[in-house]
Amino acid sequence: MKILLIDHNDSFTQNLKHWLKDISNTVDVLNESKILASDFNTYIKNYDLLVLSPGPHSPQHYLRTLELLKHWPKNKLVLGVCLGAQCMAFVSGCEVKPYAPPFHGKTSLVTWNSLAENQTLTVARYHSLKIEPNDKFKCLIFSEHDHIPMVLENELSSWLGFQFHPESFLTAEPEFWKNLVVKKISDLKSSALSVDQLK
Amino acid sequence: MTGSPLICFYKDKFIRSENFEVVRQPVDQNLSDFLQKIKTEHPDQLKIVQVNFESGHSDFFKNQKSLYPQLDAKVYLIHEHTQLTKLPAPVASLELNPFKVLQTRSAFLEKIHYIQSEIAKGRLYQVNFTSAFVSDISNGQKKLNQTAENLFLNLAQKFTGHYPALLPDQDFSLLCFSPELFLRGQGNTLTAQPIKGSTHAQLVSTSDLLNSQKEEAELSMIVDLLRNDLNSVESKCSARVTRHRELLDLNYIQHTYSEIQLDSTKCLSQILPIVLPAGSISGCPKLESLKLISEIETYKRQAYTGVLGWWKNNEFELNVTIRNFVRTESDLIYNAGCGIVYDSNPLNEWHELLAKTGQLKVQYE
Repeated sequence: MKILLIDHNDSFTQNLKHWLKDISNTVDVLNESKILASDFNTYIKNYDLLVLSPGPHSPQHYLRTLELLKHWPKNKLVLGVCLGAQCMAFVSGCEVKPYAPPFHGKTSLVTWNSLAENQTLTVARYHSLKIEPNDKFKCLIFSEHDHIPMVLENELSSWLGFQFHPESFLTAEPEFWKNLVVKKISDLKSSALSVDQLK
Repeated sequence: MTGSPLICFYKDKFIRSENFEVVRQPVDQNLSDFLQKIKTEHPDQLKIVQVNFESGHSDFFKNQKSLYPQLDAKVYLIHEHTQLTKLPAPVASLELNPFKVLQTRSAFLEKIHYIQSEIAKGRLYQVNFTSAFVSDISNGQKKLNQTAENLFLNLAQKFTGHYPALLPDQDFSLLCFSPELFLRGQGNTLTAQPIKGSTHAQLVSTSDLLNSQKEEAELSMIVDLLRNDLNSVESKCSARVTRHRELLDLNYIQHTYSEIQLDSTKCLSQILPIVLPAGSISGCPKLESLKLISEIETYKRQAYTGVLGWWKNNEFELNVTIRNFVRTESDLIYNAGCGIVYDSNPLNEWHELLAKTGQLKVQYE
């Protein structure tokens, strides 16, 4: 398993790289300014998971990332964090709007509903923009109190967006979110398998 | 100004030296190569390192004016020194002319509104915005007839802090009273202790400070930023938060600080260019903050908000150079700043700026 982490000139990218260490021994960081359209096929061949870092500004500032996202095969997981999730939303046709007052360096509670039990988790937030979900990029979990989408995914469950920062020291249960990413990767693989078997 | 001794914090004590040599970073050499060369040539010697805020990012700050001549970095090779367990009392008392803020109060407040509009757009989360203060020490009867050492010892009584230093140079002296540890390298452990959160006229007591969600968020952002900077140094070991939101009482002001540690075997010349400038005095994300600082601050910060401290073999201890005075022939220059976030009250930030001048007389328009 190899991970390609796109850095949007952020000051939390190295934290995200360290957070991803438990998922893969190989996490290569590529600055968004170094993304080459001519290398898209090489990235796709070499990496199993694409991760889009947080970063300053809005999705429209990162045209190379948006192009890469459009070309990434739908049977491989993409994880977007904060700006990364907003890039997924933008490509999916969602509105990404200013959110005032911004939420920077503060935490919120979210409740994860699973079949077995409801789990309440504390997540760190750094954002001044919010995603308006649509049918193509749906919200799985909202923050408590201010009801802002915190976890989103696309129809095929191949794009997972975290509006919060799983790599922050303020996020109380980082392992929970790592396990979710690992589960999504394995779900995608088994669904790809069943499609192959149908053929 | 030459002939002044050098004084620097050293392992909970102080060193004082009259026999030292200054080596300056050549303009055609980067910081890493400069420090590596010094290390190779003088591994066992006690050294005092001083690096400017702009080091490694001079492109951003090429349009800023300088208040005094100062290159990116220098190292003092200490040939002889004595150790002091505490700083001696000054021999003469001090009377300073008032310090003038080099920007108007209304311009300061306007720039905070601009920063907040940039934060709302998603450009950044927090930026450290600073101002210079200048006191004329050249004219008439109020001429400052004090040695740099006596001035340093006088100011040290007002500006308490664990990491003070007096660094003399040809045309000016640095007099620093920093309370903030930037980075300590001891054994195989790196330790950073960023400060964010301060008491001031509108946030009077310790409990006001500790109960403020705004001050808490400011510090938390910088903790994540420092984790990131330390995580850039090593790929296998990860940075850990070993203290969070502890109180630092300096008599003239109170702060909150945290501690981040990393296991690393890298040396100073490898580490420093990766982690500078310090997160607590730049902002988050760091690169975007540096760009914004270059848009709104008129003067280069130079030594202020750079780092300085001692270095010997593989051990070092560097402060964040805040609460810093520069004495030139004609002026005494001081700087102070505040972390600006979206929910900053501009007027409170102005009061915090003034609180950081301690008991100095300050004039502003």
